[in-house]
Amino acid sequence: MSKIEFRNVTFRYKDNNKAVNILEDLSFKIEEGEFACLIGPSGCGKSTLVSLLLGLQFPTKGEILINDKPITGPDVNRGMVFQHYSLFPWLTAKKNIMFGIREAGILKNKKDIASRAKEYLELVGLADSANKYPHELSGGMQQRVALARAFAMDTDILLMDEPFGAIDPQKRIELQELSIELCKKRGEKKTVVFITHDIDEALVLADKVYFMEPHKIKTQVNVGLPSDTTREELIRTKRYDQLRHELLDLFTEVKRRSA
Amino acid sequence: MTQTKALNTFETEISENKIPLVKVILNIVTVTVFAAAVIGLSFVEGRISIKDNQVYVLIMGIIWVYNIAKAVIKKNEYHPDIAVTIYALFLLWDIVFRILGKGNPVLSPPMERVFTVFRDDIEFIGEGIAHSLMILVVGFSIALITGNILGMLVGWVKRLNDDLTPVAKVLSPIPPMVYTPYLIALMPTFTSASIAVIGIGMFWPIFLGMINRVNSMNSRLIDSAKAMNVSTPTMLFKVILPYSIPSIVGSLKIQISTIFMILIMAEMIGATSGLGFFIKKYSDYADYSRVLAGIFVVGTVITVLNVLLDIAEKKLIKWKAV
Repeated sequence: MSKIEFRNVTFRYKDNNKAVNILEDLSFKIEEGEFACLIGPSGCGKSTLVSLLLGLQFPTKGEILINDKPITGPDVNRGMVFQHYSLFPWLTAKKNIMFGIREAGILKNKKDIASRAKEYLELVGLADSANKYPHELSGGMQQRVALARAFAMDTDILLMDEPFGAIDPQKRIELQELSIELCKKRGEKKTVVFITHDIDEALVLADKVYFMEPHKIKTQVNVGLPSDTTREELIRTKRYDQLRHELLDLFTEVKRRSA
Repeated sequence: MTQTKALNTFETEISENKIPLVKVILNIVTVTVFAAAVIGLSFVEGRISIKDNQVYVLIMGIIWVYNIAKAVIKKNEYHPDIAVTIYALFLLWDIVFRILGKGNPVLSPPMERVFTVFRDDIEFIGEGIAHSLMILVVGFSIALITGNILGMLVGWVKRLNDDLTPVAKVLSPIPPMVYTPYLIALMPTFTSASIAVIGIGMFWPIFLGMINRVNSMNSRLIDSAKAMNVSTPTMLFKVILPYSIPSIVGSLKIQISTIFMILIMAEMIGATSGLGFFIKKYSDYADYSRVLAGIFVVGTVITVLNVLLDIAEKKLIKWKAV
């Protein structure tokens, strides 16, 4: 049994009475505990794929199964971190996390919820900003809170749609490392679907990289990089270099064909 | 080199301190000159004789003290424009109508007589304010609660939105004045009729405003809430409502003037107390000092309510949209 399975998924929408194809007969599987990175040029349907997985939209044809059951709508077994700040601006950092925990239904007692929220704020290094409102936090800090909220909800599956896309490179590396740490913190491994257009980000984070070209998944690459090395060592290995070139070639190829 | 630098900082320090001081003094002098002119003039006999200028002098004095205090405390941020405008208008009125005796003394009574009404009729005016405010608070609360809750529901549920918005667009533009006489005849008491007029009159703009807010709400926040699989009540009351509070309070400030318009109009038709009744009654008797006093009171009450709303807004809403 796969954790997530796409079965002949087609998605199109109508624009001025013209059908626009986004995904075409897409089939692939993501296994339990896998950190899957979807990478591809912009406009290839990555975000649509996540929105289908989340249950905000439904396939035109085919079906998506989670634990062998078709998706009927949003569910508490899936958490989400969006690219753009999705915190509620009227709640403080801590209350935003508490909202998520309450909705996930893992705790009932308000005190327990508050202490779990505090614990995750500490994990993302924002214990001091618990009572700050989102507008008082930088973009990177807001994404940290969003990460804390998603992880504190302790969902089976975590969906991340270019969560660090709008963050400067140095902060982005910090957040990537934080994500790895948070994923490891949980005993059993979380299934993560991570969307990015940054090759290095995909390679550092993923177990498996899925390269998308418009409408479908072109190739799946098993990364298989050692997980116990530091980032500095990792990016200097031959395997990393080889994978990086492979993915770059794919990008160039898609670009050449569409030109 | 260091000496010139020190000299420079010294100079900027002086100029930075000097300008506000000069400005504060200038503001105080300006306000004082105008206040003295207004108060002084009220002791000068003109074509119409002075009866009792105590209240007039007292209120002009209070305005003076308030402005001087503000000028001293707020320094650079204070501008004497409002005080000067008020004084200038009273001066003009007094000079044209009382000193020079132009115009009709019944239609344009001297200001000291208008202000004396505040003291002589204080009980009547106080009752009027209390009665008007009671109607306003009850009627407006009903409109606020029903309008916002129904607006959220209709805005959120697509089917209701599609079916009811066209109906609302037909009913909402009917001016409250059209059905006020009918409601006054229909309802058992005048108080309940005015509450109904305000409730219905304010319901439409609040209801349509809320539908509009829900429809134009930031889709990222909606998606973010949906991703957490929130129930419809949570979505309405814990996401959409808190998001809308600043804009609800913002439109409240505009609505306050509309409500007073509806209320005063309703009171002029059939009330037995209230501010609108006060004005209507004395204009029937051609007692225009009392009419003018009533108009001043209405203006003051609206201003006070607006100031209170501003304070509440600053205290209650600490967040900003990201």
